[in-house]
Amino acid sequence: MPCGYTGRVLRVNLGTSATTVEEPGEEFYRTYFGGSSLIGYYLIKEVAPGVDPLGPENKLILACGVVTGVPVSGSGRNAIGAKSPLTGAFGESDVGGFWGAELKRAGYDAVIVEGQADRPVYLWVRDGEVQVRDASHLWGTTTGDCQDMIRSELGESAVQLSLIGPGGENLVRYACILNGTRHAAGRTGLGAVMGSKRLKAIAVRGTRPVQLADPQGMRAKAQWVAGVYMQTSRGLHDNGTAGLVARLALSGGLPVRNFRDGSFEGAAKISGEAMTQTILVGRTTCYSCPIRCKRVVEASEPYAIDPLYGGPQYESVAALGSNCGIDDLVAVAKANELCNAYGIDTISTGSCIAFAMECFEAGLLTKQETGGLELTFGNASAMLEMVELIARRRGLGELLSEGVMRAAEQIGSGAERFAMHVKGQELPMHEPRLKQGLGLGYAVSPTGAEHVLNIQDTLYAQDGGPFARPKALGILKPLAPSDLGPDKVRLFMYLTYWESLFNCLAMCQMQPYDVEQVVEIVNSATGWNTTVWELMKVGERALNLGRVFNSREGFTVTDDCLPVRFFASFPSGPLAGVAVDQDQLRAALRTYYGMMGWDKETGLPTVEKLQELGIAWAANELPEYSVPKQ
Amino acid sequence: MTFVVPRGMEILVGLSGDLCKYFAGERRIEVPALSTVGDLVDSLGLMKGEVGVIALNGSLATRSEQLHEGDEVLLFPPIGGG
Repeated sequence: MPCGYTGRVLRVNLGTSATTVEEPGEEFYRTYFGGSSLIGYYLIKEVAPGVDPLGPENKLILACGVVTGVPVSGSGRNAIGAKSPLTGAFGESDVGGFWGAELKRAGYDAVIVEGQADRPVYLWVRDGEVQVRDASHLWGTTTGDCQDMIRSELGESAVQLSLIGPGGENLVRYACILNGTRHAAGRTGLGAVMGSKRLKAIAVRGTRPVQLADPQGMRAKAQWVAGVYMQTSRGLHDNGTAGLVARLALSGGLPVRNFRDGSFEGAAKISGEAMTQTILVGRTTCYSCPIRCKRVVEASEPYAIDPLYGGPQYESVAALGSNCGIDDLVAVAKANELCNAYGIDTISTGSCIAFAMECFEAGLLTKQETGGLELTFGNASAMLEMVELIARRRGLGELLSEGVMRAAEQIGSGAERFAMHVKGQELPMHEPRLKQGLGLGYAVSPTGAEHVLNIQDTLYAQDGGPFARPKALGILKPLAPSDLGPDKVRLFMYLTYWESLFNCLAMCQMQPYDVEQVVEIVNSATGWNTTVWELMKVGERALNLGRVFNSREGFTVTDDCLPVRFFASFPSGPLAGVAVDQDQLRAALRTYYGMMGWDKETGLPTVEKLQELGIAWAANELPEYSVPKQ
Repeated sequence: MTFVVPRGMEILVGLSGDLCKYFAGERRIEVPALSTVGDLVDSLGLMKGEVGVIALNGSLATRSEQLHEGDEVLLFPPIGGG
């Protein structure tokens, strides 16, 4: 009997309604660990290059890791992946809540969804049993209504749902999949993949606790977090991730008006502290986590906000607030509610609206295209109207639902200079001119611009505090956020191995554990004798799988880039005169490829690197030019 | 031998985010004349590496800036991810 994982992967073909169960074995689990890496394995093995991301050949994979659902803080996560309809590249997004833990309790580590149903359906998984059920009556519902209806018809209020809203049904290219109504796998458009399969939801109920190799060791770890979190994570508890707004604005690194500015005159009004003092009515959490960083907000005026959909976290506040020039916190919270109800990514939605606002101000879009909306920065009611139009693909929303890269191509006239994306994915709310290693991360992430598989340079500028993590991995010298030399590349590489590992485990990065405690949690769950070395290799392996997948889709080093805006400096503010140096970035990229064991010219993993990672099979998937000539 | 510490300046200090574990809200703290922002931060007994951003009277400040009577200092943890 495996511990930590169930050893069972559920496969459902929606074209035939056939369900099968696979048992990949311990060697598979110890190689890939689950989550991101499991997704990479199956996508490369089973999704042919060039398939339509929204066609039946694409596969949607929802994957727990070996610690998902174990009774310790941070274990309430699962990964979701597919070929992304937004980027055409490796698509992955990771999400908290309770669904992943419930899937494990229902007897599965992962669900692979294949084919396409001929009518709307949902899956009902209960303690190993699987049904494909009609969802025609659910099609078009918000995530909140859908959750209520499914729980009611199944007669079980404890059912956990992974589901889409109208955004996914309408194939918005950045539609998300939510666990319940508050936890979004926001990025890379996986909700559209689910919508293309006419799969409204996966409802899960499980009653069998995850087996543990060392329950006592796990309990000790859970008790430790419960005892220290108000010392280690007080800010997250008090003000959520939006507690970042004030210090970013002070530093000149808050994304403002489509990354045009770094300081925002209205920052105090949309800060985490302001939220706590005004509309916050509760703090919620994910499975087994005492920190409670998730917000619940409620308001009646000027916009009624339903607390069912939680409250905005940092990314949402910045994307729908400062990056659109909006300082109305209630409007931002309303937009967050709409995004969660309709199932569209708050980051990409805000970024698309900010892009359109800049186009409007530059005269590239007019009131004719906006349907009469005065789509200027700071116009909160216009922003809210655009959220509705995007989710329903109406009016200008039809164009913006395609993402900024495609919208800019359509608009033409130089609109691409306002399109803040990498590989087609809109930027998260972090400024590469403040954090230059993060810019490198945007360029090389397999999912396009991405903040989870990335570093926050500002954490590692001084000894002590958060620098303890890189120090434990052998990085001994703190580095300035503006540094982009080989030492920074090394720091970036080591830390992204570690973060990539968290997407495999699948575990929350915002926990107070040091690296040894993570090792102990994995061993308490699985009974393995793992080490930091092995865990780093798991993260590295997952990154290489993403790179291999993308190489098959035709991505090259020229796609590892940044929007040109970052090569120019801010005219004023704390970061005045600071830009990303294009030559330095190019050098950092070559250094990164070299350190990763990738070819410095093609940026592709070498055969030897894949052999070293124990995934020599993946070398067969590389484009021919990467294989050394005989 | 007796050292006499001259009466210094009163500074209004606030802590934000994780730093609230030391004290929440604001406190008036007396520091010697000619103290810098860094002197003040060091006097608070926080753990190494815990302060990432410093605001002096609402603007971004460095450790070397000179304090004056009545100044307001707000300390934040380092900027992380969201």
